[in-house]
Amino acid sequence: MIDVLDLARANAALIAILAPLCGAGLALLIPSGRWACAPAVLALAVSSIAAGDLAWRMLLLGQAPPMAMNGLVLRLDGVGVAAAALSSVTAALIALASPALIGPGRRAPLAACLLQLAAAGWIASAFASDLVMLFAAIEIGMLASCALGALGGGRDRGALGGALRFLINNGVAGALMLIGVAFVARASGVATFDALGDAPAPAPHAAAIGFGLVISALAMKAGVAPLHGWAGAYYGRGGALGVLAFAALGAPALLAALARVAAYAVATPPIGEHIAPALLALGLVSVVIGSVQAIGARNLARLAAYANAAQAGCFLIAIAMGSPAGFAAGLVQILALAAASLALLGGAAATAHPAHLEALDGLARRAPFSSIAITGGALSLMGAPLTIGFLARWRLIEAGVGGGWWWAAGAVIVTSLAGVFYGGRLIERLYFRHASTAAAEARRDRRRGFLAPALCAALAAMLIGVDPAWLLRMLEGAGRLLAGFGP
Amino acid sequence: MSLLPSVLEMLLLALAAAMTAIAAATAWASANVIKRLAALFLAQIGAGLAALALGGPAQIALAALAAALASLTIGAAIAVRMQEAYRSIDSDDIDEADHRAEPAD
Repeated sequence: MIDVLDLARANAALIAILAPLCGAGLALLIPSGRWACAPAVLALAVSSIAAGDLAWRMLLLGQAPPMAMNGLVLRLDGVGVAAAALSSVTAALIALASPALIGPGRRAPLAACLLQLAAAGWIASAFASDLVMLFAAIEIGMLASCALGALGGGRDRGALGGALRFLINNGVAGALMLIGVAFVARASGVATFDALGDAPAPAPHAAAIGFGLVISALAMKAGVAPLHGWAGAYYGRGGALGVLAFAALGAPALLAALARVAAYAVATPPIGEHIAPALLALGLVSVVIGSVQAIGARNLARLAAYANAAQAGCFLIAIAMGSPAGFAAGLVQILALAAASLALLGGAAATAHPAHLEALDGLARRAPFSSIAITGGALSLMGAPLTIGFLARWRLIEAGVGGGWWWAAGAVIVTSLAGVFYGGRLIERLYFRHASTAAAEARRDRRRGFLAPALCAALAAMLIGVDPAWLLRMLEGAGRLLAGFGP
Repeated sequence: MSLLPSVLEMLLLALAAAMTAIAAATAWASANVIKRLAALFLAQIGAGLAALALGGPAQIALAALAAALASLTIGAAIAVRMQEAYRSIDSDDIDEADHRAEPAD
């Protein structure tokens, strides 16, 4: 028994990837109905345990990565291990809520299968050992997310237009990424993460172009402004499960992949002097555009998309600093993005996915549990004290001021002020208004049992600031590992 | 260190880059859903060819082909569903119908 456990722990990364793949196959064997989600919940629970245990051992206990996997097929670095744990836990929570979001019928097995395929892709991207494998894993995650969003076309045909825009954007970004990978490989002579840190980069300008293309492609896929033209349509009209899975699972995974790639670029002086300013500029633009669009949003899902763009901007500013503190602040920002998305969109989906913000008027009286979840997400977006959103912004200010980047604090303040406006508007509608339409009056907590994941995320988002020491220690460890190119 | 030692490599890279750029622009701008999907397929294939011409790893071509085929498959399914739902595969008609249903922010 102990040998089996040791074997499992030595291959934890592989188990984290293979479990959802197996579950995806099992889900298709169930003919129809919500029971198709059972293999998904089980498989993603196994994946979460494996990835979580690996993150605990490597980042908190400081153990070296298991030799069975490291450097062979998979690469276990700080950000990857943290991102994989986050992805698997988030995917498991979404799988718990999925029976309510999918509904009965023949689409349920396909939706459960696609959710697990997407999760497997995102987890694999966290452990990718080279840029080609990173591309392949991300494509699996993106294409599964596209198909999941398109499944919502059964209820609202607008989901199809959003999915098409998502697909086109992903394809063009993927083409850019392929060319970027080729530039990096040609200029550095290598494409594996292990070797990139040691490669002398004889053609630094070409390598900078390559890294720039790869980072731009990842930013397009993640919905960073101004490269996020597809996001409004996909988030606004997509199926609830697809949108929730991408916002809480896909976007954080893409940002983590971006951090892994940027770590090598920013830390190499001839390349970093081109890449760091570009990351900075993109981050500032994303903060401003995302915040302005979120203020003007009339649809809750689109508000989440634009708020995510603003948070992604803060993340880019953090990693542009190139310091361990900057990377750690970026990782906290990724966690905040995932928690806020899960709470906000999960809570909204439990009341039959309200389209317009007017549907939230007075919801607290009719659907108290959904309102708690949405409030948790809104408080995190506002950066209210004790929330994960506040922690993320505080760490970014600390990292910026510590590195002499005083104006980074300005960007955080802009994000927070905008967040107070659009997050506060949500809370005001929930608790201080009355329903303005009969349709809104009819909304209730119809799926209370499946609100548990969103509520967990909301509570985590609201209360993690009470005792964040273990979390900060873990993410600081991840940041140090990444900045040092490995354990 | 020279990036492109031979004229043939330069020619292939130029053709592949042009193919990718034109196809990507068509995928974004075309009004017909089928044309957009075909252009997307060509853009991804072109990117794979450009990556090979640049001397990227051989696996890159396989990854590009797999991604292109998978995108085409999913895109075809979306196009079929769009035809059933909207009775049209013209992006302008579809956007107009979506705008009537829910105006953008």
